[in-house]
Amino acid sequence: MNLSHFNRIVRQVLLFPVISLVLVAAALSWQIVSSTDTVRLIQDSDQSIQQTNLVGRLIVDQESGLRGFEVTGERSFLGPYDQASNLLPAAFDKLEALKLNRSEHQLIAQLRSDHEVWIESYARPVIAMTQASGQEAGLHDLDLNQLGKQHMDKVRADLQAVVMADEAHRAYRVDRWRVQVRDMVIGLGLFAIVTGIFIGLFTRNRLHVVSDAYETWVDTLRVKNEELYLSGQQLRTTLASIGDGVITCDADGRIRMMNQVASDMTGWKIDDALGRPLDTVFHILNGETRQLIEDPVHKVKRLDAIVGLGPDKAGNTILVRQDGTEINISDSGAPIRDQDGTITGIVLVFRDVTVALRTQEALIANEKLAVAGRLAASIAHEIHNPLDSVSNMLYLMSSGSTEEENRQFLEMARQEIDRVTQISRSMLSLYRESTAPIPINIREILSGTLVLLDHRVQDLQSTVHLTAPEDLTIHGFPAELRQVFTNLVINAVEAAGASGHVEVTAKHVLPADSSATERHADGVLVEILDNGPGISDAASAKLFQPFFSTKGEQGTGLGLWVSRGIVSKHGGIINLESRKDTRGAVARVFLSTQPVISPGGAD
Amino acid sequence: MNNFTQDERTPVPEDMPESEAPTRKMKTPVVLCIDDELIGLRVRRILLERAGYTVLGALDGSEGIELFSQHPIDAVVLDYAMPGMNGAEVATRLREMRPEVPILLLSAYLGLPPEVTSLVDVYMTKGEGAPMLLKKLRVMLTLTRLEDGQGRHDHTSE
Repeated sequence: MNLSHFNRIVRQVLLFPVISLVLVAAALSWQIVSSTDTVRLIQDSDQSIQQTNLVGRLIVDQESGLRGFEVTGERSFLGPYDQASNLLPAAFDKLEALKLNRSEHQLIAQLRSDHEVWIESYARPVIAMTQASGQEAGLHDLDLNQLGKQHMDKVRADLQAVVMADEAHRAYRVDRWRVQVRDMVIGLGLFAIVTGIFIGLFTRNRLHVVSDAYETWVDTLRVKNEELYLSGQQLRTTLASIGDGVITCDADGRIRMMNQVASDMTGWKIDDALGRPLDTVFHILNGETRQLIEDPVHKVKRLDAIVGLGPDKAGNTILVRQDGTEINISDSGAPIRDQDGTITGIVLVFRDVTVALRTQEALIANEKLAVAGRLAASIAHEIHNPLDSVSNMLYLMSSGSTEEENRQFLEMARQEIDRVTQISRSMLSLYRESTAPIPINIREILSGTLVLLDHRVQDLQSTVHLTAPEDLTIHGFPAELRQVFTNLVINAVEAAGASGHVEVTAKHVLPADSSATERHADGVLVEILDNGPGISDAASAKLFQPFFSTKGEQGTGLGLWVSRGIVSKHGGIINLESRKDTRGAVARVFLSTQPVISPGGAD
Repeated sequence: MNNFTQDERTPVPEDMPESEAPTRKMKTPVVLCIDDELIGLRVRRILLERAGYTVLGALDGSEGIELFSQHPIDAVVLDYAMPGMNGAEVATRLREMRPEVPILLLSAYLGLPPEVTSLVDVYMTKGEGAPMLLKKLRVMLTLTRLEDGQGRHDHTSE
C-alpha cells in the first residue's frame, strides 16, 4: 500500500459518515417541514371550529334578540340581533375562506343558505310584524313561528354538522400528524441503525486494509532488517577473515572502517584510526624516490577508476607504520558509488609483500645459479678437453721428444690453457657483477655466451651461428645480460632439437626502425631465431610468467621471467613469438645504447 | 681441414718405441681417431703413432665414417661430444658397416648412460691419461685378435 492509497481510505472513512449525516439531516428537515404543514392544517381545523362556534353564537344572539323584540316589542331588544346580523356576513366569509375540505364547504354553504332562509322567511317577517302590530304581534302567528322554529332547527343541525365535520377533519389531521411523526422517528431510527452498521462495517473493512498493509509493511521491514543484518554480518565476517588489509573511507578521505589486518599492518588501533584522514594512518612512500605517493582517495577520485596505488609496479610502495617501521605493500583502491554513480567513498586493499619481495629476490638469485648449474656439465667438458690435450702433451714430452716437438707442444699447450682461461672467465662473469653499468661489446658478450654453450649445443645436435658487427656497444650489467642470452639461446637450441639451427644476430637500430623502440634514442636489437616448432598460442600468453615452463621437470620456469626483469632494468624490451616467415620462433631483445637503468626493474 | 686430416693420415714409420716391437712383428694396426678438438686430435695422433700404430684422423663423424669405409681399420678411438653426429651415432653406423672392428669411446663426460656405453667395446674418460689410453687400446686390440684367431681357427676347422 502506498501513501495515495492510504489517503484514499482515510477520505472514504471520513466522507461516508458525513454523507450519511447530511442525508439524515435532509430527511429530518423534510419531515419537520411536512409535519409543520400538518400542524398548520390542524390549526386551520381548530380555527374553523372556533369560527363555526362564533357563527353559532351570533345566530343564537340573533335568535335571542329576535325573541326579546318579539315578546317586548321594545326596539332595544333587537340590538343583539342587529349586531349579530352585522357581524355574521364577515364571520361566514372568514369561515368559508378557511382551508377546509369540500364537504365542509358544502355544509357551510348549506348552513349559510339555511340561515338566509331563516332570516328571510322568519326573522324579517317577525320584525316587520312586530314593528307594525306592536308587542307580541308575531307570537300569534303560529304558522310563522312554526316555520321559524323549523328553519332554526335546520340551522342548528347545520351548525352541528359543520362542527362535527370540522372536528372529524381535525381528528384525521391529528392522526395523520402522529403517523407522520411516528414514521419519521422509526425511519430515522432505522436509517441511523443501518447507517451506523454500515459505517461500522465499512470503517472496519477500511481499517483492515490499512492494518493489513501495515502488517505487511512491518513484515517486509523485519525481513529487510534481517537481510540487512545478515548482509552486514557477512560483510563484517568477510572483511575480518580476509588476509588483506582493507580500509574504507568516505568521499572526504576519512576512515569509516578498517579490518584487523589493516590495523596490524598500519600499527593503528581500529578505534584510534576511525574518523581520521586516510593519509594520517595510511602513510605511503614511493620505494625508490621515497617521495610521498598521491593520496589514494584523490587518485581514485581524479582517475575515477580502480587504481593500483604504487608508482607503477607492485613492490615499490612502502607503508610507514605508526611506530615508524616500514613494510613493502602492494595495494589498490576502488571507488564506491551510489545509485547515481557519484563516488561516495573509497575502498583500499593492500597486502604485505615484504616477504614476497624477498622471496622474489631469492628466486632471481637462485635462477642465476640454476643457469650456471645447467651449464656446469658443459663447462666441465669444455675444461676437460684442453686438460686432456695438455696432459697428453706432458706425457709425450716426458717420454722423450725432440726440441722441435717440444716447442710445438708448448705452443699447443699455451693455446689450450688460453681456452681454459677464457672458459673460466666466461663462467666467472656469470656470477661477478659490476656495481655500475659498464660499456659492453655486444659481439664479445654473445660469443662469450656461445662458448659456454658450445657443448650443450653439440649435445643437442644443433648448430648455432652468430652474426654481429664488431663495434656494437651498449651500457649495462654484463653478467645479467649474459644470463639473458644464455637463457634465450638454450631455449632456442632445445626448441630446434636434433639437427636444428639457431641464428643469433645483432644489429644497430634507430628509433624509426621499430615502433616498439620509439621511446629510445637508438640501440641494439639482438635476435635469436630457431627452426623449432614455434610457440603455441596457449604458451605465448604465459611465457614471461614465473614458474611457467614447457620443459617439464627440466625447467624452473623462471628463465624468461628473470630475463624480462633484467631487460626491463636495462630499460629494454624483450619479446618472443613464432616466426611469421617460416617455421620456428624468434626472441628479440632491444637494448638502448644509453639506457636509463632502473634498479628495481625486475617484476 | 681436409689438408689437415690428410696430413694426419700420413703414417710416420720411424720412432717406434722398443716396447711396441712385438706388435710390429705383425702388420702395424691402423687406428682411426675421430675428435672435433683440433689440438686434442693432433696430440693423440702423435701419442698413438709413437706407440706404433698407424693413425687416421677425422674432425667429425661423417668424415670418420668415410675414412672407415675406405681404409682397413683395426680400431677406432672415438670422441663423444661432437657437432653434427655424436659418438653414439657414429659408433652405431660403424657397427653396421663392420661390427668386428673394436671401438674405444673417449669422452670428457663422466658417466655416459649405458645405452651409449654398451654400443662400444671400451669406454674411458679423457681424464684417465695417456698411459691408460694406450693400455686399454692394446688390450682391446689383443682381445679382438684373439677372438679373430679363434674365429678363424673355428672357421678352418669346420
